[in-house]
Amino acid sequence: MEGHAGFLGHILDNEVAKARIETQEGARLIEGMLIGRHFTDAPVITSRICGICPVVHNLTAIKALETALQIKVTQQTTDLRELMQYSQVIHSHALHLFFLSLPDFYGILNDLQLIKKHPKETEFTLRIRNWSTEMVKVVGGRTIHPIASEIGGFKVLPDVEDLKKLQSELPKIIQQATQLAKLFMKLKYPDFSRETEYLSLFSKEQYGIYHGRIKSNQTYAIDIEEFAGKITEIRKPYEAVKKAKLDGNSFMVGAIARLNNNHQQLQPLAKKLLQQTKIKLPTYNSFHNVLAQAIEVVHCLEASQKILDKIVDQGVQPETQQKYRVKASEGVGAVEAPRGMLFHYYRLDQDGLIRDCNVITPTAQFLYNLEDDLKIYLPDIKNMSDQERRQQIRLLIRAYDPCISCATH
Amino acid sequence: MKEQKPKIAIIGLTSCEGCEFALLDLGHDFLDFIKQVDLAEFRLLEEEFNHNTYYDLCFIEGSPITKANVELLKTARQKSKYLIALGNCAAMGGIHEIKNYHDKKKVKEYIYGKDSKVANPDIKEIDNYVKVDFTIRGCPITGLEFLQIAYNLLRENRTKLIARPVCYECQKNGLTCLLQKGEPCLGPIIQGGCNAICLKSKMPCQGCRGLFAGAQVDTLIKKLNKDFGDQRINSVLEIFGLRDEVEGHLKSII
Repeated sequence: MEGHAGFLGHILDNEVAKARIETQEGARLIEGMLIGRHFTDAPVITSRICGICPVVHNLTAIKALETALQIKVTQQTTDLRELMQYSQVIHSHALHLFFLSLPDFYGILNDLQLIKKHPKETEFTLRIRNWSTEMVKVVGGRTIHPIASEIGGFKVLPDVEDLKKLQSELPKIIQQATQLAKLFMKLKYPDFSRETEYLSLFSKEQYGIYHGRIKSNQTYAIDIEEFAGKITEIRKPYEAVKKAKLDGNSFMVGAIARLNNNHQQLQPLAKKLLQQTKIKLPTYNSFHNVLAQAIEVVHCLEASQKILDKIVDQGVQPETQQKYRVKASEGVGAVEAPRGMLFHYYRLDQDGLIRDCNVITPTAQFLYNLEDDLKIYLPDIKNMSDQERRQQIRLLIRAYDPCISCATH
Repeated sequence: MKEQKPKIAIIGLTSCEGCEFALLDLGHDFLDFIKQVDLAEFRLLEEEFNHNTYYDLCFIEGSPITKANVELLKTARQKSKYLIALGNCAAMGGIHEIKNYHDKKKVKEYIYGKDSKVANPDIKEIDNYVKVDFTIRGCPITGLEFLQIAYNLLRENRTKLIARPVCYECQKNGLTCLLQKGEPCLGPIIQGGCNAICLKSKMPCQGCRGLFAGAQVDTLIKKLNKDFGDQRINSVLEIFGLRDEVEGHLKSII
């Protein structure tokens, strides 16, 4: 997985007494270091929270600060940011699906064996990843830790020729992603079910990735600001991760939550694939998070195609740099990171220095849910051999796709 | 007898792991690379490895923050012929070094409260703990530069860095000089090799690759301090752990 973590579980009298995920990453104290710094440093520094999903930290910081300073961006800026978001989800999912998750399903411990055994799928995965990392680079200036995106818009706009090239390659990439998704549709997912609250962004216009309010499968949608006030981060003396609860309960975010909440808004091809899985939604099987990711890769590629067609057709329009007044203010921003909702909060003083801030990552939000799943799952598999059981536990933890660098930060 | 492939380890301490992902993002080029070596340890691609082995090249990413990080680093050194700092965190301290310049106890309390027992050491470059043979610079590293250095080390047991500033590549690429446009750009004193990627996006250089040998540090810093104020410039120098390096350099020339 991304980062270091371990798992502790004990079964006593057929009941799980304990199921705890322990993170082994050091704390970098990102929020503490931002205090007193100028707000324009926030997108630069927070993107470094995570090397696999820097785009979402960068854009969430930007969105939160634009909310604080009441900055409205152009449609073109929003379109370009959505392209970055989609490609961020695509390349993170593709890596997790093929290189991290699939070996578990096949019982392989080493990716080099996987690559040897499945040259065609390896090739597809590499091409999908190349396409999406290139997209982030073309729009954001760099794949890891983007540079061009800033508060108000972009420092430099992409070259339309580069976008055209990506557009022309896309039909083939969508085909390959579809084949990869079909591979994941054929996998045998363990039987598991535990009723769970699923939370994701929701927007009327589209499958929520960059925009939206917060939707739960159990309650009505609420605004991001209201939600940020309801979520509690639990501090424990020896833990570097502040795991989150909502009204005292665990909840789930990420691909499975988005699919459960918003599947009707999937793009056509992705929707067709979902129908072919014959899975009834909502699914309470956390292993299906893997399958949801595979479907989302196709969805995000189709959604990118729509935006690309529009931008290439219209051409990239020059923009003047946004003028805005710095003032004492506060703002929350949220996007869907590959692993679920991500929140950034900032409060600024009149000089634009950060006086308060908070980052709540998806992994910190779902770790309690993973522990609750494990408590139910461990008794189910207690008669397996040690090796098999370890394999199943690994499979479940990995299905969540935890990002420990993000969770700790 | 079949020739043995060189053994490579890529090990992460505490970091964002972006430099490891920069390798995966090389795609086919990285797969070609690992076919030519014996990838003895790389947690992103393998679950279990043989720990009783030695490494010809050991790349260390991240900062030693927890005790386990420090132990891992020291053990890696014992097992390795060449140990290479991979990226800004290992080489210069990374963004988390910012806390060294502030009240780090307060920084931690802000996040975790007074009762937290979470490790909070001063952030130090890995060469404070072990001998470092080579450094691959940048936040993140440039994937192609990694390959170039790794192949040089494998074929010739050495690699050479041409001491020249980011400005060299900025000008070669015909980019606009942001310093002349009145932005605090550190390009003139920072080691090139990044192809001036930030400048291409009109982002001034914030120095993630560190000083180049022979840089006129005092001239530029004096000018920037005068134009933007010490406070702002120190704040820029802190982002990628450059402030201690610059202050050390300025002291050494007095």
